[in-house]
Parts: sequence; C-alpha cells; structure tokens
Amino acid sequence: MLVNDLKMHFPVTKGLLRRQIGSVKAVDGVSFAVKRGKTLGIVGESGSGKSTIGNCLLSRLPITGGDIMFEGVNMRNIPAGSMRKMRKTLQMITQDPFASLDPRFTIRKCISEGIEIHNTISGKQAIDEKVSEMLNTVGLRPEFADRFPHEFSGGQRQRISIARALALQPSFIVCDEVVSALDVSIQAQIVSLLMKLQQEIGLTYVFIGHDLSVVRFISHEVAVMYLGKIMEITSSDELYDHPLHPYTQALISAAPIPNPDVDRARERILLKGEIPSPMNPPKGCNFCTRCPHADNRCREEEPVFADVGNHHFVACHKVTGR
Amino acid sequence: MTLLKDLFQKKTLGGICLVILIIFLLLAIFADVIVPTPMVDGSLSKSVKDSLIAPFTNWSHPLGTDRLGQDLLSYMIYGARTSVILCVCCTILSTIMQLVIGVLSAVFGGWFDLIVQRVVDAVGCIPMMLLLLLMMSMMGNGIPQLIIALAVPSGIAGSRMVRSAAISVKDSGYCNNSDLLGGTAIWKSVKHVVPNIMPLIIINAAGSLGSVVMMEASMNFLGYGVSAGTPSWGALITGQGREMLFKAPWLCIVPGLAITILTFSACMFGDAIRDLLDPRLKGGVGSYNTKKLDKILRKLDASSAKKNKPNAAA
Repeated sequence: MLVNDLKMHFPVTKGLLRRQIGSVKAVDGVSFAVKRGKTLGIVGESGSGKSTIGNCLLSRLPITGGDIMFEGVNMRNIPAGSMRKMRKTLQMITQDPFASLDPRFTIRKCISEGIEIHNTISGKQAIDEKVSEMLNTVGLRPEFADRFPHEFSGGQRQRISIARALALQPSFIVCDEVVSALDVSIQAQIVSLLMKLQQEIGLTYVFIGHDLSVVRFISHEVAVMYLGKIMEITSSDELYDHPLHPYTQALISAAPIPNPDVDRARERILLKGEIPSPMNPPKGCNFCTRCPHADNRCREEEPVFADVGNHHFVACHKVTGR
Repeated sequence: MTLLKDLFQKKTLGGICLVILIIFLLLAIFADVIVPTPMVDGSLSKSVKDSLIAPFTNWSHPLGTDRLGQDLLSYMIYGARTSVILCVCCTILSTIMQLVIGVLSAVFGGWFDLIVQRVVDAVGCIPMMLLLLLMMSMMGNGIPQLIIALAVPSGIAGSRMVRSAAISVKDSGYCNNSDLLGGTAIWKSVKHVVPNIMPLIIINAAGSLGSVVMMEASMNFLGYGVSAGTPSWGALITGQGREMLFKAPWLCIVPGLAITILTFSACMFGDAIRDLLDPRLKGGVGSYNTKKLDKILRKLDASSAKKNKPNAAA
C-alpha cells in the first residue's frame, strides 16, 4: 500500500448557515509505503492523527487530499459499492473489545457476519467449519462458538474480533490500538498472535499504538506522528537505537526502561506544554513550540521530509542541516 | 420452541399471561360458539323484565345484565371481538410503523432524518383526538378504519422514541464493525439495530395495549367508533357504566377488570419475553431455579446433620 500526501481536514462550522470558520487538520500531508507482509507501526501522542489515518486507509472518511494506492487501485473517492467489496481484503481491528461485539450475537454469528455479508462461503455446515477453524487459529476452543460475548474476558474478546476480521481472508489489516485496552500479559498474547498470523498467512499490518515497546516489537518500520504530520520514519531498530528527530528522542526517553540503573542514569528530555490545536498549527515546523532546540528558522520555514541515509527519513532542520 | 419451553419453565408468570392472552383471543374468535345467549340479527336479546340483574345472583345470567336486559357475559364475549382484536391489531400495526420510521430515520440520518423528524413533530402538534376524528370522518366507520386511525398517529408519534434508541445502537462499536465488514445500512438495521432495541419496543407495545381500548371507547362516545350497538368493552364503560356507576357498578367493574387483565397479561408476557431474549439475563435473576437451590441446600443440611450427630453423641 502506497500513501501519498494524504490529507484529512475536518471542517469547523459555526452558526445556522454552517459557515466554515476553519478546519481541523487531523492529517496533513502524510506519505508512506507499507510492503506486503510487513508491519508499519504508527506512534504519536493523543490527537496526533494516528487513528484518523487508520480510518482514511479503509475509506471510512472522505479524504480531503492525496492518494491511497492499494494493489494498483486508487482508493480515493472509490464508490461505496466497490468499497464494500474491498472490505474483504481490507480489514480493521478496533480498540475496544467490549464494544465491538454485539451482545445479542453468539460468537458463531459474530465471526460469520462478514462471510454472510459477502457470501464468500455458502452452506451452514461450511460456515460452521470456517468458524471453528477461525477460533482455532486465534487459540480459542471451537466449543465457544455458541456462547455469548459477555461470557468472555477482554483478551478473549479481542481474539474473537481478530477471528472476525480474519474470517474474510483479508490481506491488509489496520490494528487501531488493539492492545491498549488490555492488561500487559494479554497484550503480549495478542501481539504474538498477530505476529504468528503474519508469518503464516503473510498479512500486512498497519499497527497504530502509543506503547512504544509494543510497537517496536511488532513493527518492521515505524512512523512517528505529531500534529497530523510524520516527523520521522525508518526501520524500527534504527528508530529506537538512533532517534534523530527531537520529538522522537523525547518520546523514547519518556518510556520507562525495565532496568532501573539504566533508567536512572540516562538523560530525560521533558516536553513542556501540550500539543497545539490542529485547527491552528504553528507556522514553520509543527513541533517548534515544544522543541528544545528550536530557533528562528524552525519558526519560519517548514522542514522538508528528507532521507539522511540508511532509509531513514526525518523532517527537522537541525538533523538534515540544510 | 425452546423459547416457549423457557417461558413456561423459567418465567412461569409470563407463561400464564400468555395463556390468558390466548384465551382472550380464542373467546374473541369463537364468540358465536361460546356465548350462552347468541346474537340474533346483530344484537343481543333484550328484555325489560331482566334489566339490571346483579352478577352472581341469577345463574342464567352469571355476570348479570345491563339496563337493556342484555346478558353481560355474552356482551363481554362479543365485546372481546371488538376490543381484543382491535387492541392487538392496532398495537402490532403501530409498533411496526414506529420501527420502520424510527430505525430508517436513525440509520440513514442526515437530511432524511431531518425531514422525517419535522414531519413527526408536525403530526405531534395536532391534538390526537382531532386527528382521529379527522381520519375517521374521511374513512368512515368500521373496525379496519378504526384500527388504522388509532395506529397511524401513535405509530408516527412513537417513532421518535425508537429513533433515539436506534441512534445509540447505530453508533456503537459493533455497528461500526459491521460497517467495516461491508454491511449495508439495511443489514445493520435488521441484524443489529432492531434486535438491540427490541426490549424497549416490546415493553412499549405491551403498555400501550390498554390505552387503545379506552381510545376506542372515547371514539365510540363521539360517534366515530364501531357502529352503534356493536358490543365493546370500552363502550360499556363510557356508556351505561358511567351513567349507572352507583346503581349498577358491575357495568363498569366487569369490563374494567377485563381491560386490566388484558393489559397486565400483555405487560407481564412482554417482560418475560424481553428477559428471555437478552442473552445476558437468559431467564433473569429469579430463574436461577430457587427450587433446585433449595434441594441442594437441604441435601447439604442433611449431610451436615448426619456428621454432627455422632459428634453430639460422643
């Protein structure tokens, strides 16, 4: 999947006549590529536009600008009918496992919903077999098929959501904060399940999250977002070992390290203030209001997204030095 | 079938109420066969000699007679034909209307919702009685006309409640997920929205049953109901019953009780069905079979008593 200069602006209206008084630039000129069978992690603090990207990728929002190419098809303004067919290949797993399953559906019905919508498999017995197979894949017992969602724990429910998404045999899955609502031991289960599935079926993931260590663990490449823009994008080891952008450095230094000696000894970069309003982003570099190294040039001129070698892209004047 | 079994096993009161409702319906349908004194030429036999016999005093008229000397039991059974059938049909029709208007309005949203809701507002502005009279004078008298006239306004007005419930379901996580799986609006409505607002609809429909009987009665009073002389419970209360409240109170009490039993049964039956349809309750709290629990407790008591005995002896 190729994303080129993706923009998603939400209009802000006022008054009876819905006069537009501005727009929230939730995603403002984002470009990246995800290779088949690989995982792109997207990290960033709340309000940086991570989830909006996920929703744009699946055409759940009418995008303002840019192109999304998926297997040679431009998904921008694709008609609703053909998008519905595309759902077979593009799936999403959402954050809250407690809200995403209909309380009146049995697990069987939950998982087979997509199959019934698209009629990919016909015959009750064939569907039942598929459901059992899906439950096996995500590590649940097939006997669970006749139970109701309220009888399951959060981790089990999230696995049911994964089974539901997988039942349509998609090739591309957006995981929107899939582990954020779960406790740590279950996070590990879910993440390793996702990675196992990737190895077996060759799935492509866009993994959105705010837990840096989880994202590093699952992703091949990681993009760091701030205020609707990508600040830095590179392979995950490179990003965590040599963060170049001041924002990435701050993010990584904010995450605790399990070894207390290392944790105490290292230098902490503390960011002051909050993320500025995406309705009115600062002139120049988006990060200049909170950057410890910002100077006049940062406040005036927008940095270009440039390769500093080793397939490492950064948007910062200080790093690119031009 | 399992639902029916569950109804009688886990929700016995709901099951009994279903039986009562069925009895009422059977009475209405087979009125001609059952009644002690059948109608001749569309009216019950009247005799001045027998007028105003109190209930349980004369066994040829178990429920007594009214001012015209008509047998009250026969009158009630014939009245069930008007009242029960009218009630049930009217409630079903208005519930279907509420569902269709409310759910479509919620699911499609946008301009469609705006226009539909303004129409609903406009209908709500007109006094109910006025609307009924208008519709009845346009369509003429008769039971089908009365059903439509009573069902349509309440169907339109009630759709607002359905809409608000449907909106909250529509925006839930599982509906969004259905969207992600590629479900159309109709799919979402039928598979997710309607089943999840069903409890509200069942309770509302059951509660409105009783009011339909009284509405029919007041239409009758104004001369727009079923044709004059046709027995109906509502007509009995508002007509003779009210005039002779002190002289012959049974003329009010008997049909009043019948309406109460009908409404109560419908409510309890609706309640039971709602609980049984909810997988989280699956039979409700009371269903945890207190009898079984008692048995287990008694067994435990017995075994502990056995254990304690030798100890006490020693």
